[in-house]
Amino acid sequence: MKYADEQIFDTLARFFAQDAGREAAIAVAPDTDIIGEGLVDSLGIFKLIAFVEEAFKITIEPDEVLLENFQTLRALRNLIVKKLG
Amino acid sequence: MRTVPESCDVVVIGGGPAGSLAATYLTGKGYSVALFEQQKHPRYQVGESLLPDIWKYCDAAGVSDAIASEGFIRKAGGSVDWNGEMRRLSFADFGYTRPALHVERDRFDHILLERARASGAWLGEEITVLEADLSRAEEDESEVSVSYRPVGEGSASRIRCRYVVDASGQTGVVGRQLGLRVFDEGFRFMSVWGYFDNSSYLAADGLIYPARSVRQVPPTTYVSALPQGDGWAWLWHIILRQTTSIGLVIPKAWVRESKGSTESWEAWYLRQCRAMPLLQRLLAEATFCEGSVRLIRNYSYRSKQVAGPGFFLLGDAAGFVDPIFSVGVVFSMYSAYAAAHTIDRCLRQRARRDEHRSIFSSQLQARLELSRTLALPYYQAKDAGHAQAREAMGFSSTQAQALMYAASLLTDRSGNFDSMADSPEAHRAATERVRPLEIPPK
Repeated sequence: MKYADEQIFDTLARFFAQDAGREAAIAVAPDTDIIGEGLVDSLGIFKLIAFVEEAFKITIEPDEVLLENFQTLRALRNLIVKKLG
Repeated sequence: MRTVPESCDVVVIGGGPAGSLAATYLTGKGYSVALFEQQKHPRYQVGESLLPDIWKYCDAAGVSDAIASEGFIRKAGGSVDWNGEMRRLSFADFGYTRPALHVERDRFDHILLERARASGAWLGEEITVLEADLSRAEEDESEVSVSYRPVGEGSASRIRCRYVVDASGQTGVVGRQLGLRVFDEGFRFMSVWGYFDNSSYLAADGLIYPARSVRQVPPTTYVSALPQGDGWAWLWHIILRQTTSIGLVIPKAWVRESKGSTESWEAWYLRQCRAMPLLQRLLAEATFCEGSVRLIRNYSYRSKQVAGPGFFLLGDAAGFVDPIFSVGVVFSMYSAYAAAHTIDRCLRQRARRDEHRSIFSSQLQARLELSRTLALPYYQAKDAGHAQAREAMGFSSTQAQALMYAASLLTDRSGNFDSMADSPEAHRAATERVRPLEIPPK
């Protein structure tokens, strides 16, 4: 299935809205450094991988769990688009 | 003793923080868990300084209120005397809003174990786990069998499960059985520690306070390099509610040189303590607790593998570095969370078990490598794990990186950090927040 960028970013934003322990939805821009800002920490990375896999019906391989793929929503979007072919 | 179940989803070996939290997280996901603990809680354990990072794991386990209401000592930060340079840092300066703690580990660990029990895990204390049979792990219906023997009884029994989680600490039941433990030859340490009553302490303002002020003026953990140690040997001073834990971490070679064969460990330990002038000031009114000296002979080690078909290694069972930055309990809790998450994924998606396990392994190994990198006094940038450690550093927030950098500045190990991260922001934040410590003369 193909997604428009907008859909991808909206879906990813849902992760931050529902992530346990966060009181309210956090507005995350496509280029926000989600790692540096602490929005995704060492626990969050596990949850984020599971979320992306389920939301987009893709599988993320161990060697793709790199900062360059997870630092921003845009990086994640690029990974997702690549995987959806 | 209640009857041990014949089978369950996951067997957890060990009732320390890693085991108790893993059990709690797994029951929370709907799995049946049997936890075996060799001792009877509350039981003694060293490692009393906890970073504020513990709280997110405690929140996830629903145990934060029980810990907060226990009234453990809240600490303000660290005071470090490293080869004549006195510096300090305060967690509040790094944006932490929840406290770091000095805890009696018998009590702290017991609270976590009781949380596991309340979550529905089956708990068997005073039971020794002998070995795990992994030969049929991760076949269609993953089947592992674990043999155990109640302490003091002659015959062993077996329990079937789908995964075994080894949180047995330095014992490392599964890791040793599989020959996974590797000792770090360049980093052979031992630790000797004991307890004093009524020790004074250093607060975040750089002043010395008597023990009785500890509720009014939060203490810091005091750390000092030992003069003969060439940057490798150090001591800790951790004030608790009734007593103070003081320990030495020293290269084994140095112990061999400095301890006579007839000298007792207690005499040797007290002699080292007396050689430290600032420590002597803190101990001016204190009494040594007779018979309190203990030791661990073997640091550091890691594991060739931290997960494989049917098993996961957590906390000290996976690896142990230098306790200098108090990351041990946080690492245990992290590994418990990661293992529970991964076991859940493996059981839901059998076809992708290898991939899930591989992500767990690389994340855990990278964290261990990062701890090792920061703790080694002379880190070799060409070490094999360097890229892995850099990646783990990159996955840390700017705040966490700033704290790591500050800790490495305090102990003259900032060269390690410089080889790991390229974050001017973290550098600036750390440099601004590490303050000189001037202790007024007597």
